[in-house]
Amino acid sequence: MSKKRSKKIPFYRSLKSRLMLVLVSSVLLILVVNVLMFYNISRITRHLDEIYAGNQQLTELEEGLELLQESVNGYLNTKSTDTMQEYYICEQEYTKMVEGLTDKISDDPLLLMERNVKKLSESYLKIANLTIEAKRGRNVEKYRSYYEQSKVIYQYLTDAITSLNTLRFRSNTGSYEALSKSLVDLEQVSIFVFLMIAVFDVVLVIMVTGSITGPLLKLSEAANRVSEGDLENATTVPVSRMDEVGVVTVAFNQMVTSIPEYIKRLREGMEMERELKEKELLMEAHLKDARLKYLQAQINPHFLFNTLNAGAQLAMLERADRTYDYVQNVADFFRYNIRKDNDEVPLRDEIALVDTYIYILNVRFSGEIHFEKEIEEDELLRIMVPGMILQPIVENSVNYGIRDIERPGKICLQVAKVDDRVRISIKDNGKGMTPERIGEVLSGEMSEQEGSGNGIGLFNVMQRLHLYFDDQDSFEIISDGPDQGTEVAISVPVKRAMDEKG
Amino acid sequence: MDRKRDRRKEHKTEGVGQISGFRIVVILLCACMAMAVAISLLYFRLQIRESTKLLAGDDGREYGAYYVLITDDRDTGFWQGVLKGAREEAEASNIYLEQIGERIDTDYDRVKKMEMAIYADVDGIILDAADNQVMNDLIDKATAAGIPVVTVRNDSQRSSRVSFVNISYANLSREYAKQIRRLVKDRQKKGETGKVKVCVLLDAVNTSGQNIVLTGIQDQLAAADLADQIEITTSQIRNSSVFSAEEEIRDLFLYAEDQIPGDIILCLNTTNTACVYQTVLDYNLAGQVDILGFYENDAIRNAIANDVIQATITVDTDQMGKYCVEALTEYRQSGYVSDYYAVDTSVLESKRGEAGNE
Repeated sequence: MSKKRSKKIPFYRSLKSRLMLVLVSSVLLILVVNVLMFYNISRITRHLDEIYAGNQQLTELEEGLELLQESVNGYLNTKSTDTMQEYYICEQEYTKMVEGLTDKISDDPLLLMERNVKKLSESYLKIANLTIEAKRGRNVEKYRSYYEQSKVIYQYLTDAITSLNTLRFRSNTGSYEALSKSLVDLEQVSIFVFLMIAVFDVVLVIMVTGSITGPLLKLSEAANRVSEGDLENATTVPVSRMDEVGVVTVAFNQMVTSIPEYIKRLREGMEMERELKEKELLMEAHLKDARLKYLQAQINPHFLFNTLNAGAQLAMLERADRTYDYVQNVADFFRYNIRKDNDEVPLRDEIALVDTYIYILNVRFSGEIHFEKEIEEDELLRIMVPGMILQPIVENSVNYGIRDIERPGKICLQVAKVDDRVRISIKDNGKGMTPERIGEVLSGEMSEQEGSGNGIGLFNVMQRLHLYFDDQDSFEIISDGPDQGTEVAISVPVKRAMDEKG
Repeated sequence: MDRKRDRRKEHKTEGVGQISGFRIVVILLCACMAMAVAISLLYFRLQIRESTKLLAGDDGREYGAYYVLITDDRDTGFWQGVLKGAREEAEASNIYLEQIGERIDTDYDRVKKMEMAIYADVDGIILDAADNQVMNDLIDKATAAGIPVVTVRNDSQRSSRVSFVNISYANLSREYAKQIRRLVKDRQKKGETGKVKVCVLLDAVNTSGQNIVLTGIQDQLAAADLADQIEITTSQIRNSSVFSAEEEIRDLFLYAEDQIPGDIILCLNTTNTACVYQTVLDYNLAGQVDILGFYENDAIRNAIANDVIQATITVDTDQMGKYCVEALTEYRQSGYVSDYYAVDTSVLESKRGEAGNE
């Protein structure tokens, strides 16, 4: 569908260029028609001028002839140099005028008459010249005879020119009428053409503005729908032309299709964040719960702390080194428990707490508990784990595993890398657990009843581990049955633990 | 929801349909406008071209030579006939022929037309001449200027004209004598006795040939032994000034005995024939006066049909015109030409005449 549409979209042409095109073409059209009209008007006017040019020429010819005849008369009268000169000037001018006439024999009466005028003029010029020559030669008889002849030809010539002039005038009147009619027609044609062009321009402007505002209107309608939040029904706007509006429309269409997607992704992100937040809050609640339970179990840790420190200093003064160590360990144990930054601690610190705890217990129970540590790599001790997870497990092993057995109790702590996870295992050789009991512990059914020890149960540890690593497999209890000992193993992903630390 | 979308789709397609319809209408409108503009501009240009052509004038056909026909009564059917025949012949030889001065407002006589033709340096002149000195001099002047002159109908025998084209006088005399004989016989059959008076109207100006015709008629009648039964008189009709012929003919009737100048009136030209016919009608003399006319026109043909004019001698004017042009062209080409061309004549008789002949 989109492919189809994109095929239909023409090449990009900006609004500016379209508007310019319309403007320029309409101006050009008007210009061309104007030029055409003016050209025609000037042509007609020129023709109108030409119409009577022939008459004017004949009138000039008649005038020239009259002057020539007068100059002949003048010379014959006075025989002066001036009149002689005048005669020659007139003769030259008249000859020039006569040369312009046709000498073709045509069945067109005007042309034939023109030819006769020319021939008569030539005869007249010849006789006039002979008259002048005879006068100069003082041949009185001859010049009189020639003069008479010239007068006769002059008369014929005048009549012929006048008649030709009249005839031409009559014929020209027809042309004049036709041209005048053309002029009137031109006026009407011009009005018609200009009206047509005006209508055409108006239609053009309506079309162009329509083609610009139409897509804009559609776009604004669609935008209104989107702004009202009707994203579901927001359909894409068809792109009819690739101009600025087209570009905006394409962008709008992309926006309309991508907005729901963004919203979906945003919603998912928010959901995830909310879950994370929830987890965090839950963990915090569990930690607080652990601390509260611990604090409830103590009278006043700060007081105890200070008391223990005072005891330690006293032991040092009395040089009772063992007492000093003992009191110091007890103090360290409690200090760790009331640390504020127990949310996340290195595994090393957790193991140190287990050491302190075992030391205290061994002082209490005269070294009954054999504690072993097997750490595969020191590097593994750097991983970050939630605080207060190992000591409760060890405490649990002591209280429910090895306390009431006859044989020497053993607790073994192992840290090893298995695949991409770190396995922390606390194994005792105590009473062991039945699978039912393991199930009860893992499901949390035991947690309420078993509030002994320092108060933090296995279920609490398990829950925190789950929340922290977002992993149900991070905690497991393994026992082969009664008197077979119990192993509590925590398995955390290395990458995750390192990342948290990092 | 789906229904809503469908409705929107429908709406959209409807809109598109409207737009394309509108576009089609607009495009059609524009096309009509463009066509109307183009047609009006085309019409206008054609009109301009037409008037420009009119202005420029048609140069007409160009000819190799220019002949003129000179006669005084150029509008009569006879001369129009001659002109037509001459024109057809001239046209075929790429020669333009006209009656000189026919478009000049001033009405010139033959002498002036002749002068004008000489000064206008035409290539040939066909002249209805007159046997007088002025005409002879003009013909000589034309010849001196290298313009050949052919006389037609009336000759200037003593001039340097190259040829003369006319009806055969002998034929004419014979035909007239024959008609007179027939009319005399008719009268005798009706029981009329005494001499039949024949009045011949002569042209006082163009006298050439008239006498030959008159003599010919007399000879023919004498040969038929009718000389003693017929009395031939002549009357000079001056046609020098306009309408003078008609006046003179009326006078002739008015002052004649019983207002009948003759039993048979013989006219030697078309104008006289028409005038006599009209006068006979006016004086109610039809039946008493027989008219023998010359040449034919509508009025004469009518009169013959009504038996007012008994017969008229017609001339093959086409042939006459043709001979004139032929003579001129031949002279211009070879320098020689036959001195005389005889044109055929024929008789147009009234029904009575035809019946008589039978």
